Amino acid sequence: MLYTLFIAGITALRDYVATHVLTCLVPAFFLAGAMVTFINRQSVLMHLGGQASKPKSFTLASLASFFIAACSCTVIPVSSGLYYAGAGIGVAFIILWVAPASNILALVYTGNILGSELLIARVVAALFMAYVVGYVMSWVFCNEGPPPTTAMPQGDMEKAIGREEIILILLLALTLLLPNYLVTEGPYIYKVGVWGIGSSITAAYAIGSQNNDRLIEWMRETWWFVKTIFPLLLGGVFLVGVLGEVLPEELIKEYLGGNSIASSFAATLLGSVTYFATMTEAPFVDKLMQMGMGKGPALALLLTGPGLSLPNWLAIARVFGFKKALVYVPLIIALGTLVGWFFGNFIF
Amino acid sequence: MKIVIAGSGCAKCKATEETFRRVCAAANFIADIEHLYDMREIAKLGVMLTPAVLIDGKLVMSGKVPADQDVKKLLGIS
Repeated sequence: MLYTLFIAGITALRDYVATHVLTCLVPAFFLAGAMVTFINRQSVLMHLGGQASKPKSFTLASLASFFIAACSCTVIPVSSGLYYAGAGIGVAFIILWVAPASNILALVYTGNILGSELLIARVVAALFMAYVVGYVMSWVFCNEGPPPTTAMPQGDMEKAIGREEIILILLLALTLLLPNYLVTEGPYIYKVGVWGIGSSITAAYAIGSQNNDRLIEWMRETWWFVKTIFPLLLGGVFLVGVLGEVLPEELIKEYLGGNSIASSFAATLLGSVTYFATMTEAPFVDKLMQMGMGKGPALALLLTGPGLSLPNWLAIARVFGFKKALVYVPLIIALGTLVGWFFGNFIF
Repeated sequence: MKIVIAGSGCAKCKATEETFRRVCAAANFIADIEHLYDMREIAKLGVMLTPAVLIDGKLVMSGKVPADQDVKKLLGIS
């Protein structure tokens, strides 16, 4: 029994490594490293702190979150820092939601594994939920004065990102996307070919446009992502393989199949409690869909999986206060369920 | 000199503390190094990107793990 499980895990791992690591993960890690190195996040955040009107600040916060990247653990200091700097409760919680639920890294990865339909749905749904969260949080806590604010960190308003860096990041994103979109059939080696061409162009451009220090810093940041996310990802894929063996398909079909409110709720709950490091949600959802999960619930799980987790609830309660967590968490669960049901029945 | 490393306990924050301790030890540089974990306190310092480093109350670095060279520069060790 244990042996069968082990084999199932190893098989999943082997398939995954063979078809994803080179053309999908390698560029993803370089992209993540580049975003940390070349985007001046401090400057992005300072722009966010100074917006007065709600629609404007909410939109800006949602868009900025796409580039702040990474998982729920790194986003808490960002969001609490903004809150204590006087950015407003709505903005703080939008960042808290969008950055893990829908950052560039997770998005391109979702597109590669699950296709563009779910990718677009994930973006649209995350943004819709962000606005609702922003307005609800501001409305519920409107009587509460701002926290004892610290001054917004001062510093010269440097540019958030330069033109050459934008081109570099776009090239990296293309290297990540093109192998899957240009090569839809034929052997895997074709994808490797496209990947090779993209990587060479990107590398040449990087060396031409950036100085040595920046390149070294970029490599250091990339290596950090490899060190932190890769083991989690491999462990996750192994676990997914084992779960695929253990869980009967009937069970998945019964609780997560179709696009009913109930299955959407079940998927949301699963995602809201479990911790998914950024990117690990995609292979997990892929496996569950093969076993019969509906598309609506899949979307709900994609959003709430990385966006919310039990440890995350506790951290939010500690940093922002118990009452705010008590509004935020049920709100996300309700919205996730609704979004999964709506997309499952009317969009897909 | 008082050095405060503000971090959530994440891998990068630990690496930052280690780098500071290692560089100080290697240069026989005496400093009081403290790791601040409380997210509320960190937010009140005006820090948004962890790991952040404060030297004598002044924010000197934020959002990345410093290289040994950066630490030496910050501490004025040649």
